[in-house]
Amino acid sequence: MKNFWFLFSAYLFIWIFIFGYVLKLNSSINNLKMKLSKLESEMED
Amino acid sequence: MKKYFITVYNIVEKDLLLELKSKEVVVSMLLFSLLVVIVFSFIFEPGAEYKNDLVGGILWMAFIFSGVLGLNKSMLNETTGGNLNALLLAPVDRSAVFFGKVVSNFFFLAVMEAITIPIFMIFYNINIFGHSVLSAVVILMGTYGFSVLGTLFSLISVKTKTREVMLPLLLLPLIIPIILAGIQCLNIYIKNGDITESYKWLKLIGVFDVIFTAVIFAIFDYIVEE
Amino acid sequence: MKITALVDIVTFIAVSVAIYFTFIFAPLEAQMGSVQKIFYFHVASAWISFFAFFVTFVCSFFVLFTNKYIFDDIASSSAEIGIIFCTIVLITGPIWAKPIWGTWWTWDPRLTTTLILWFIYVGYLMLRKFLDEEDKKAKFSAALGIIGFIDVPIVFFSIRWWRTIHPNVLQQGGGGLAPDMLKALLVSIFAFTMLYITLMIKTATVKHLFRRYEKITSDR
Repeated sequence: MKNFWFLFSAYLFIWIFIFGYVLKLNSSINNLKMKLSKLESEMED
Repeated sequence: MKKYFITVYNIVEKDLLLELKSKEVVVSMLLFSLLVVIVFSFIFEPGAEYKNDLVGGILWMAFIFSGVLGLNKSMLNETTGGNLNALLLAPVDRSAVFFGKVVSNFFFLAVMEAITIPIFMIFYNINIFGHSVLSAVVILMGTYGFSVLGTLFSLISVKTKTREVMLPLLLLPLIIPIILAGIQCLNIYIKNGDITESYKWLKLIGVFDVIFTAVIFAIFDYIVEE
Repeated sequence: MKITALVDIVTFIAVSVAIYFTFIFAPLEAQMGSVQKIFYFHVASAWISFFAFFVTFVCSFFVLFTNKYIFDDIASSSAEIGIIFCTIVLITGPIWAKPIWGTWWTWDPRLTTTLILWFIYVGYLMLRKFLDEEDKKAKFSAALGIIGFIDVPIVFFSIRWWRTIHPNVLQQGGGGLAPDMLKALLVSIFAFTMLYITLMIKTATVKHLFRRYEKITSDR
């Protein structure tokens, strides 16, 4: 396997970036949903 | 149509009168560009042969960096006291106000360049007009393109929290074609190269100027809509 | 909710298939060896970043002409995703170039244009960060979205004229592409397009929810 380490590091970077972004998005969606539902329940009171 | 040009003229007249009185923009730009010219001279050994390869770039860097400084100053003058908002609310074409600012910025830059170039030619012992007077055309066309995009982005960046920091960050990547073409042209003229080689670069700057003038003319009214 | 879950699943499957095609199905390049397999995801990322900036460009016009914030959400989400993939392109490119060309970076037109593209859109995101008022944020960044995208071909041509001596990389790579390699490339481009759509839905949802949250808190 010639140049295997270059291949490995390239794909490592690709997945770090994509997964990092997806995780960030998921956490901010959940965060916002929680805040919104909290607000809505407060408004009903 | 005539009314449009009268608005442009009025804005230019106002800016020139103000500048004649305060001289803030042109003097600060001029000092900065001369400093760039002097600071960059430490790159070479005195009297080095390879000097001719680099001086065109140095001249452009002096113009661009001091231009960024001047555009910021010129737009900050306009925003203090809500002057700009008042101008844009006036019952005239908003893009006429904008192009008035472009013309006056172009004028300030041209004055700065007209004083910088002779001093530059003395310091570096070089004549950029010796081979062809097209050098002047390149510089003027490049300056126009720079002031069109520069005026728009200085208008945008004064509204941000960071103010003048934003302008070079937005402007420099966008005007790379002008910097590149301008430097290539000046290199050809300084090194007595083939003048026909420089026509494509002149065309590139021309296309750049025309495209962005047209685009901004078309969208400016929508950008500043209140 | 159901459609987004479906898109998520399709994306997951497409990316898995693309990984299979890249590593197992596509033949090993004779001269470059395994490092050539960077190519499939590198090109797919490049395609997505250009596509994403094109979406920003189109939506910027809609922002200016219709004044609807939904287009601003789409334009800014697309620019964000474009930056992610542009960064991937700029990192994987040099990793591929080092063993093949023997250098991390050359001032090739495509490389340089991608780098400048990255700077333009990082500027776009910074501008959005430093503007407070909603309508100014939308309008000003739309102006940059339009002008930045129009600038890119001019930058590309100017750099190509500047560097005419350099070999054209894409013709080397694209001309001699074996049919199985081309299949793998198309599969990864499809997978990345699906990935773009998934990320787009998620990012736009975040912006939409955030706008609603701001509205409720400001109304009270």
